[in-house]
Amino acid sequence: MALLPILTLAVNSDITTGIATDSTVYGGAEPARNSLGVFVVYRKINASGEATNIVTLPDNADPNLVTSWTFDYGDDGRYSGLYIAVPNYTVATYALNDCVHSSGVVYQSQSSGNVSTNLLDTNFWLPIASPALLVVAENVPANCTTANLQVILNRKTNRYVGDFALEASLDCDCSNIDTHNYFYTLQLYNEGMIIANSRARFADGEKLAVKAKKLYTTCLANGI
Amino acid sequence: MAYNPSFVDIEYAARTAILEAALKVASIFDYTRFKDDIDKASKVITYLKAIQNDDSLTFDEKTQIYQCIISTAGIFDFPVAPQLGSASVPDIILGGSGNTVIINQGSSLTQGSNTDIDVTTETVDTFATNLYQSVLWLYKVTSPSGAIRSGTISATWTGSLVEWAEASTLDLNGDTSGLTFDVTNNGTVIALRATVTSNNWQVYFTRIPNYIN
Repeated sequence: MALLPILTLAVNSDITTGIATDSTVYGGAEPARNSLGVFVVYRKINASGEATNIVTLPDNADPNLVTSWTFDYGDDGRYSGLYIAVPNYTVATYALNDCVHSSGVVYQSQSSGNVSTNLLDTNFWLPIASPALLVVAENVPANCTTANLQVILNRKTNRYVGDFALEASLDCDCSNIDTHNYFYTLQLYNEGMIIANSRARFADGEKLAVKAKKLYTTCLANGI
Repeated sequence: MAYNPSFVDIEYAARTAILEAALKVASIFDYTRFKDDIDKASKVITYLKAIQNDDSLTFDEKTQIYQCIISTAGIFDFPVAPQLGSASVPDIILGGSGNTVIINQGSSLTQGSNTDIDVTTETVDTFATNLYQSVLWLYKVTSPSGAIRSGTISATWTGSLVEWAEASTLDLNGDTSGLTFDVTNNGTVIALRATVTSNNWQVYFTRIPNYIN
């Protein structure tokens, strides 16, 4: 059976940093963890489907040991975690685009039937600067486990829903009806994001995140 | 034949209504134009939270809340005309009037196996989270020495969360306690996994979606 990549996501309390922990099961019938170089990068996907890479830092410089990654948490919305597990180099015959890991560097085979043992020979191997981006490249290595783990994150909107609820509660005689309307609208966007995530409707989730941000930003600017 | 939606059906349809309302409101600049939609959706959100966050509710109280959800969200607004002439695989209906059990369409049943499960953990079945919201597996386990047990595992999920429960027969021909199941959800894929204490176990399963998107 193949590895089933799982990244468990958390966000720090001030909503500035995302933490992805590798919950993939290694060993047993699957490859041992220390036989693989694991690389992860997070990307923010906008409403048009365009991706922006986010600096993603591993908790260990050794890809054979890293177990979690951190990335800057900007806006709520659609995030994509690209995961690749690259086998450590062993003497073997490699196909075109196959990848191997050696001492923190990933090399991609430049030919079929590649038996070169010299990873520095660029006729046969090319170092890859951002291995995780191979997940969405045209030359995906067939000998690696890859995953594009998408998710809708709503931490900021969720916090503002709480803030708006407080404001609405303090206005218990409904003297300022806008306060209540803003709360209900933001709550609707927030719930919509949660549902969109659970149904893998990521484009819809991103759209709601953008609208939610526009709403709470306007409210904050107007002192609401 | 009247169709009585289950609580799971109602919750799923209600969430669909919430998502549609959110997208509708988000589609224009002046969201106040959809105040009625926002009000209705907010009530549905509140009702759903009432059900999820209160374990003390009685069945009758829950039924009453679900009725409120149905009427507020405008879902399952029966009666509807029967749909005739379907070319799809028909449902299999068991039981008499008032006690019917509908097994989902034949095309949605999935059978499979992992006939060589070795230590420690292997995947038995996987599928995308967006295919269904909940599922039931019927399974048979066979140990390396020929002991067997049969059982069911039900699971439901949202986002990256999953809840599951197992029920099984007693063992026959020996001991099958060396194989345990769990269900994982990475936000994209649901996996039924088996963890074993020795090599060469077998699992055969049938996957039945409780709800089809």
